Amino acid sequence: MRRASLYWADGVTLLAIAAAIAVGYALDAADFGVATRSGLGVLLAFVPAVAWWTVFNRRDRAQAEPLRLVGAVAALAAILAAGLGEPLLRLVDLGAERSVVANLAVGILVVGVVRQTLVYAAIRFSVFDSVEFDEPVDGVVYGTAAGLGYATTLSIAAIVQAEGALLGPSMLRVAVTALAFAGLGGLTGSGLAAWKFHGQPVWTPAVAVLTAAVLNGIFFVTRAEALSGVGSATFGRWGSLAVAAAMAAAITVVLLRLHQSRERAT
Amino acid sequence: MTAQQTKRFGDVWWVLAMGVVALIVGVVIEASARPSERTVTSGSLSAVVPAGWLVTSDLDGLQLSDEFGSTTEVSISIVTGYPTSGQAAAAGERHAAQGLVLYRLLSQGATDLRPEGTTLSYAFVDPLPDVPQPKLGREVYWSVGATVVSARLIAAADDFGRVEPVFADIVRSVEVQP
Repeated sequence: MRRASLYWADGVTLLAIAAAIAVGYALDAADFGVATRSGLGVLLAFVPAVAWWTVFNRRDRAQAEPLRLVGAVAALAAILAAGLGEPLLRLVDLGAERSVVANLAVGILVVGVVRQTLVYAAIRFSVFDSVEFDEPVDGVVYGTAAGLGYATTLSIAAIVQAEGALLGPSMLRVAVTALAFAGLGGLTGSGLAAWKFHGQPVWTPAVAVLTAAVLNGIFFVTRAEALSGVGSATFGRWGSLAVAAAMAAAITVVLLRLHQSRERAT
Repeated sequence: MTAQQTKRFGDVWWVLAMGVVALIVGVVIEASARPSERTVTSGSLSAVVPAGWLVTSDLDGLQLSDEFGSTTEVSISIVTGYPTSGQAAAAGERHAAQGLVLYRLLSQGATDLRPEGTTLSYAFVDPLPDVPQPKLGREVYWSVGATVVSARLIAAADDFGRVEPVFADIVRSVEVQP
């Protein structure tokens, strides 16, 4: 039942994201001032997180996680991103010209590790020890919420920095960031759940964070390389959206199947 | 910390350890892979400069300063009015006419920094700081097709020896797109 709710939430979130992208492109044709464009862009940045939780909460009424708790995890991840993660990453010159291999190493070992560790922290130091974190799927649920919270901060920062310009492509970026972080957050949360409920070794959460960091680095560095290619920016934007959606869906399906098989085994 | 607490937070220590090791390795890779120089452009002009140098303006040619701020100034621009051979002499006359304090032409002639390039070196006192500062200048002029390019270095006299080789590398790297 809860797995079906997650699939529903993910599916409807994809539709909501598609609608937000269409609205973004429609707004690009309108003649709004910078403040209005930025405000509308910030509102649209919330669409993935709000859509996911609204649908999941409605579908999951029987065992609904407390709205405030899921919101708190997402908000904590957003605050950690704005107050700690991104200021820390600004110390590293992420835009410097480097080889792809060096970019990949920095993307994984610095950017990926910082972001996924904070997603982990948002779950670990809030809901993890509570009675609400009481079954394996909760790892995916709260991990996705934390990932979406972190992604929302990144999206808002990007829209405000661009002063609301080019909302269509900005919404594509919002969608890609949200989908990627939702999937990776689910992976990180799943590591915590595996340790808590399936008796996995104590280092399982660290492996999950590292795996999420590796995927984070590979995905965003590959995306940046695709976008920087001459004449490939448009393909890169839509292509990375497709890859992000596929990655998020694949991670969710694999994690839920893994939990299912472990539950059967125990 | 009790054994129970250690066990309870065992995952946190693992994540922290992994994070610290990853960050150390990542920062070392980032520092070692950081480029030592970068290409800056202004219109049709481009030059390779040390990565830490700052572009203070790219509106009328390239205005650069070193990573320590404004004590060293390099400007590269396209000039008109004289052929290459006449630029250095004209620059010397221009400096004298500008009334630079204690201006003195040190040398003038050909340079091997650019084919058929000419150069002049000079000294003057910059009266603007609270304590007037002796400065040295060097200008290089060379032709690229029908265009004449000018590169100028002004630096404090006691720092000139350090930045002159950097200036020479910058001059060698200048390219003009047609």
